Amino acid sequence: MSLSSRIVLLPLVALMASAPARATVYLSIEDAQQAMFGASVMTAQPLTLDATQMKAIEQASGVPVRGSLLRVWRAADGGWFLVDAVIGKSELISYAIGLDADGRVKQVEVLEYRESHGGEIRYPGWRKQFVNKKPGDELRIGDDIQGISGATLSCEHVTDGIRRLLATWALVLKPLA
Amino acid sequence: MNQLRRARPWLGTLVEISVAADLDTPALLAAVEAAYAVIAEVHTTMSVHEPGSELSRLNRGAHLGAMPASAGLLTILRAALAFAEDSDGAFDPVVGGRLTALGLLPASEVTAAPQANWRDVLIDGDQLRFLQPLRLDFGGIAKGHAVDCAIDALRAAGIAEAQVNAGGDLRVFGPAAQRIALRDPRAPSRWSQIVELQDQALASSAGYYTAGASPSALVDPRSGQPYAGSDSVSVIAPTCLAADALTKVALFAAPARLEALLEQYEAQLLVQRGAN
Repeated sequence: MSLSSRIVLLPLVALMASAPARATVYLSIEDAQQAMFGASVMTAQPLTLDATQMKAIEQASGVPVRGSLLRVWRAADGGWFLVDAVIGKSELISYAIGLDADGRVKQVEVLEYRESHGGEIRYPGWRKQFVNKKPGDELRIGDDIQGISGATLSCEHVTDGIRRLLATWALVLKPLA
Repeated sequence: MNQLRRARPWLGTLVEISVAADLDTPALLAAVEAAYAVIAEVHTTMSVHEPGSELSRLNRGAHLGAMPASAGLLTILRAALAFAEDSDGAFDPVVGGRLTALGLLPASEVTAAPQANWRDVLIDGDQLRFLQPLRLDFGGIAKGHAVDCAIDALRAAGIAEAQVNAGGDLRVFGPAAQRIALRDPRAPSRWSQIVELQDQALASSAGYYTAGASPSALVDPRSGQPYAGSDSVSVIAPTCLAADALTKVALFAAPARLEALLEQYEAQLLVQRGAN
């Protein structure tokens, strides 16, 4: 690749011992409930799946069931609210799903996204790595980054999780209603 | 300024929307909902994975005779065909047949001709026709387009400052610059560089996540060869659609074509070497 003024080869920087953690909290459980069900009264209805139910959910959804504990709330209007967590390549995502009384998805919201191993950001001299900086710009060490760009990370594990929860509704929650 | 940040699964990845404005929370929420609604619209129209999408319908029938296409689909198709022409096929939405042959897309009823390319797609008014069986796939451009549509929706709703990030393809606007980290291709859970953006878009492509079911498979449309390099490319451009498409041009195009396109779209390419 020949280099023109529009092509910048970024210098390699030393890989630091500590990976920067990225953890974003989007919504609390209560806020997600309110976003999906308004002022409707939510009743916690935690459930523990037995081995037969777990097997049935796996078969119906094609997704492994790794935990037996279900975090479930029942809305006064007959809807359901479930909180679940999935693990991807390097990230842990907890999310909430709202279902109406007929098991249709009302909304999906990511509650928290946590990447990497939770270490502190330690990046001595990181200002030197700053590219595209305008003259006169001052960056303070410790300033938070506001986003990350990279190759697209699949959210297949989230969609698998949703499929597993829909099977859980059909096999376990619907008969309770 | 009141702020809000949400993330939802769309377009095969997580789409994060951050907004700030002198508006109350219900108004911020309404703006964010409007932005997610246009992203959902792009997803359901343009998804090659959904058999019921408009794109899948066209892929099944447009080689048999002209079919009407929606204005939204034609907009993104015209943009994609222009990139294909200008990059001499280094970016090509007709790559779907290649991806299917490699097992990167699920099989479809119509078997696409492997040599089909953008020249086999004809637009006449609102009608679309394929000269041979082929499979359009907007995986290399739809996320960028959806981000642009969402940004437009947020501006229209009176948002002062925002970022829409579709799994690494992002665009920002507002009075202050925003600091974006680039993943390190040698260790993608870490970041290695900071880029400052103001009213700009940034998209990246690299091979480090393509081993699994990536929503953005990187395959040279002309040879059908997957990208095997270890470099990561990021493009800064005025729109996310251009940034998204230009990352594929950067991986596969001849240098002269690439430089001309970067010039044409007022874009800048940042390359991070994946190996010392």
